[in-house]
Amino acid sequence: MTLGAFANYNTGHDEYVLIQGIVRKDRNNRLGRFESIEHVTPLDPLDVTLRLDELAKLEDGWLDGKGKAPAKEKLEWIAATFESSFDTGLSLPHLYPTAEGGVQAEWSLNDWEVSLDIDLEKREGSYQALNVKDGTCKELILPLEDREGWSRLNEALRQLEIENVEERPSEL
Amino acid sequence: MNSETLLLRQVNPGFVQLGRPTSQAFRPTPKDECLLSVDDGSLIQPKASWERFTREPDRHSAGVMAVTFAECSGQELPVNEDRVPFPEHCSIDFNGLSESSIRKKAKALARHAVERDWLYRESQ
Repeated sequence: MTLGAFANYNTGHDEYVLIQGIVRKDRNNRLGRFESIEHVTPLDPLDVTLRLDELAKLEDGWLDGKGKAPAKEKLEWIAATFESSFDTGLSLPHLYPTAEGGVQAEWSLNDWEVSLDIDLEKREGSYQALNVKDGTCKELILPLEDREGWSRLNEALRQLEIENVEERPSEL
Repeated sequence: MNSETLLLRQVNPGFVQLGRPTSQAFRPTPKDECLLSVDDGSLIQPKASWERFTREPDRHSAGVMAVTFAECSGQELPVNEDRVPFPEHCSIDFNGLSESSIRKKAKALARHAVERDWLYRESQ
C-alpha cells in the first residue's frame, strides 16, 4: 500500500490516490517497484489520515516561533480512533494544529460553524457549534477515548446536517 | 479608520487546509495576551503587509485575509489603534471574554473573512 500525489491544475492542490498492490523492497527494506497493482483509489481531499500525516511533519515553533508540534504517537491514536468511530456518512472535517499541540477539527455546515478542539493528552474534545446567522450556540465536552463520546459527536453533527437539508428544500 | 476599513490579518500556513483558514487564525493565541494583531488596511495594501510580516525572522504567512471594523463592532470587539510597533498596527481586543465567547467571536470573524476571500496569497 502506498500513496501517490499529483498536482491538480484546476484546484491548485495536490491530490492523492491510495494504491493497493505488492511492492518489492530492497535489501535496506526500502520500498522499490510495484510487482502488481490491485486497486487505485482516489482519496478524498479531506482524508483524515493524510492530513494527520501532514500535521506530523510540524516542528515546535511552527506558529511564528511559538506553537507546540503535536506528538506523532498521539496523532496516530486520533487517526485510528477517528477511522473506527466517526460516522462515514457525515462530512469530513478540515483539520488544523493548535498552538498547544492539539488538533482542531472544523466543519462549515450552511449557517453553522462547528469546531472540535481535541486535547490529545486528555483524549477529550471540546465541541462548539455556532449558528452565525442567529447566534445560537451548542457546546459539549466529549470523551474521545470511548465510543460514547464519538456517538454524541456523530449525533450532534447529524442534527446540523439534517437542519441544512430541511432549510434547502428548493435544492432537492 | 471608518466602519468599512479592512483589518488585514496574516494567516499562518499551518492554519490553512485546501485554502480554508481555521477560525483559530481570528482569535489570539496564548502568546498574544488577548490581542489579535491586524494591519490598518487604509494605510497599507495586503501585499505590502504580507511582505513586511514575512521579512521578520520565524514569521510565516500563507496570505492575507480581512475583517472590517464594523464586523468587529458587530461582535462587540473593540479595535485598538495602538500604532505600535509600526504605524499601521492595530489590535482586536478579546480581553475580558470567556474562552467559549472568544471561540464564538472568532468563528463569526472567520466566516466574514472567508466570504470576503483571500486578499493576497503567498503564491501570487
